Amino acid sequence: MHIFKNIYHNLFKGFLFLILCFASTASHSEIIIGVHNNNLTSINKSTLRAVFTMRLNRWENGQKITVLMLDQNSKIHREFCVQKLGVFPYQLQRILDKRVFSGKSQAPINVSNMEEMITKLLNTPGAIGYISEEFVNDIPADITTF
Amino acid sequence: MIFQQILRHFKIMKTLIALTIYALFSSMAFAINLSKNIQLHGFATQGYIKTDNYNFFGETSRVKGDIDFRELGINASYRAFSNFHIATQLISREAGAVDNSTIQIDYALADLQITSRNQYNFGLRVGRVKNPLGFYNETRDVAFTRNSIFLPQSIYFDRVRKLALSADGLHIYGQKRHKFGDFDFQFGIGYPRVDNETEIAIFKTDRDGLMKSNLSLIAHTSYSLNAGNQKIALSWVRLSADYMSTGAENAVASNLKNANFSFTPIILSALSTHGDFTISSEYALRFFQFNNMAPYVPEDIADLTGESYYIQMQYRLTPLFEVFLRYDIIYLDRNDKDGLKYEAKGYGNRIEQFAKDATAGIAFHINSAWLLRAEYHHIEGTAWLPVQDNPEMSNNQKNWQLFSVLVSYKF
Repeated sequence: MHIFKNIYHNLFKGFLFLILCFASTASHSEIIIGVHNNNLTSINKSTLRAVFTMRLNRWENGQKITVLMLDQNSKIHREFCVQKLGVFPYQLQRILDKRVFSGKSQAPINVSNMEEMITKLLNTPGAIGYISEEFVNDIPADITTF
Repeated sequence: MIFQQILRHFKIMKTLIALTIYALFSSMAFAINLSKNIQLHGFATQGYIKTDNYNFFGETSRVKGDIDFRELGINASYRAFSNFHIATQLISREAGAVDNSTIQIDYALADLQITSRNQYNFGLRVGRVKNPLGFYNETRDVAFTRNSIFLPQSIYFDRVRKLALSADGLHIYGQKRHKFGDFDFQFGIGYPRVDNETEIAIFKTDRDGLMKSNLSLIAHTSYSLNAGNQKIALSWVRLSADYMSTGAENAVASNLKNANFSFTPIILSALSTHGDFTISSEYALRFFQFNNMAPYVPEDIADLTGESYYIQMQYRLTPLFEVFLRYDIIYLDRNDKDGLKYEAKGYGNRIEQFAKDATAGIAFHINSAWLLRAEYHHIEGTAWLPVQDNPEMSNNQKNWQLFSVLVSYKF
């Protein structure tokens, strides 16, 4: 009995390992934060979290913050959540839902793809968004990257 | 029977039409040139409930169960300046005989963020503001933000909800961000919402007189690490209300003349997420004080302390699927946990004094707009059973079961 239990246990572990391997090789592109604000020289993780959870609505120079975000199910959004905020997309979404449905803040502005993200970033002073490394050459000079 | 059904559908239609009109108006008002600062969001939730020995939100103990549980909401917000917005939400909730789809202003507030620095921010909210109690009270009617179909009833009991839902007043809030974590606080002062629901909870019936709330205080602080992956929170509120009896009532029970009560819950909440696994728990002590409410509230139980807690474990199997287990306990009087003293004094059946709820559930997060949940409860005791749905409360069945399926949409 005990031996069977062990075999099952190891099989399960192996299966889990395989899933993890697939999950980690599926996508891995570096994410860059883009901000339309020349005065900003650095942004740390806790400030970034405050911005993307809509807690902070002005930059230190007084400029209005506009948060741009891709769909929750997009691969780049997932990478952004994990790499830059240290949460899963559903966790960020729940934080945002709690704020939006209690009147504490508005929701981020939705963009449908990287092109729209970059265009909106360029056209909206104070906007913040995120860009996948494949698009790094498309980032205009007016956008500060971190 | 058919006529009743038509009437009920008419009620739903009326609600939907009213919500749509509200949505149109609130968007039209600013849509002309300020549209990018306006947002509209909403949700619609429909539940199916089947119980065995008692009713919960409708005639749920029938063989086929009931679908008399529905939550509709719509909100509009306008960001007038970078650090100032106004927001309001209308909610219509149908829950058996507890809630009858009346449209209510859930919140209506103006929010001014006075200070916005990278490491801290501070602001004010004025108007009808949701009460920040525990992890879930502020958005308890939004299925997407709950941790199950029904929130742990020991702490978020649905049979007396409005009292603790929101209050009309002023809140200050702030967050200090530090490399050791984020510290949040919120303090409020305001008039809570009371209505016949509160009367029914106390008097077991909707009396002729009126409940009137007094200025109440609320405080909530939390400390979180890793964007809320580890979080502890402490909430405290002091709510009180006076009962304004009618002349006829005074003639029968003169002491009702100065009847009032206070309710002071304190809730400690903790949550920890490790990868796909989340464990959470909340513990509450609830201090009640009733004055001059005999014989409805006898003097010897007019000053009592209730105790509640739950522990929940959630596991996200895939980004779409989630399973959870929960054990949830409430004691209406922590000095009489099994209700024996209560029963010995002839106040009622002892099973009304506690409830122990073991729950297992699954969630299917179809996409960001749709959510499907199913859960099963095995409950011992009837402490949070709605009186409204069970006119003859004690049928001596200590154990009962509840099964529910819910579908929710949001935009």
